[in-house]
Amino acid sequence: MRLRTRSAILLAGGVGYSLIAASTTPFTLPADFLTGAAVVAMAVLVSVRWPVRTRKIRARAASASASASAPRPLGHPYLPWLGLVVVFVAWELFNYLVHGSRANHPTFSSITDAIDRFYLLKTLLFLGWLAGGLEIVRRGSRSQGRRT
Amino acid sequence: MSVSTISYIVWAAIGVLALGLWGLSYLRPNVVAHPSDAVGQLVTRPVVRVLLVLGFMWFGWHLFAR
Repeated sequence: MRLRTRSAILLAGGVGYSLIAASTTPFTLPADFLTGAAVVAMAVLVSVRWPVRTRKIRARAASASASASAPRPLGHPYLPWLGLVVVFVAWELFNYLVHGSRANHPTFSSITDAIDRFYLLKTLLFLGWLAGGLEIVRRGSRSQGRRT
Repeated sequence: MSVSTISYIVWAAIGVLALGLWGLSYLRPNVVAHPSDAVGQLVTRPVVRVLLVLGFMWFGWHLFAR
């Protein structure tokens, strides 16, 4: 199957699944089932597609960054992301542990709870989560180097 | 300014920073790595890749189910 057709089917499937999943309410069986099915699918894909050892994908990542077409990194291009994660975790922990009401100190979950009240935004959030999971699976896949 | 307003402003700033880094990763990939490249680096480490998958699974479960 052509890559374009496969991508279109994946996108349509992901959008459809997200539309259904976003219509469920947390702490109910449908929400558990639809979210759980996506979690199980990711676990299955990781088990099937990821190599047991990381040596090959490490070598592939090193050769990709050393290729002539890749731009030469200035300093550490991953450092800004690490900084963002540190700030995010620190702020989340502060809001979670500080004395006071959740309304005064909203955690990330409080923000997403507010987003979840809007069907379209919840659909986009679910779709983003699915896409992120697929990207993690794809990046660690043993066949990723042959397709790109 | 109330405490909650400050909290929301910081959350918004973190969101804007994430979007800014994402945009910059397309314009200046040698300065800020693309998110998928950052994931590509993380999955090369045996323990980190397991933590990444488990964390991502928990994240979705926490947001949408529990």
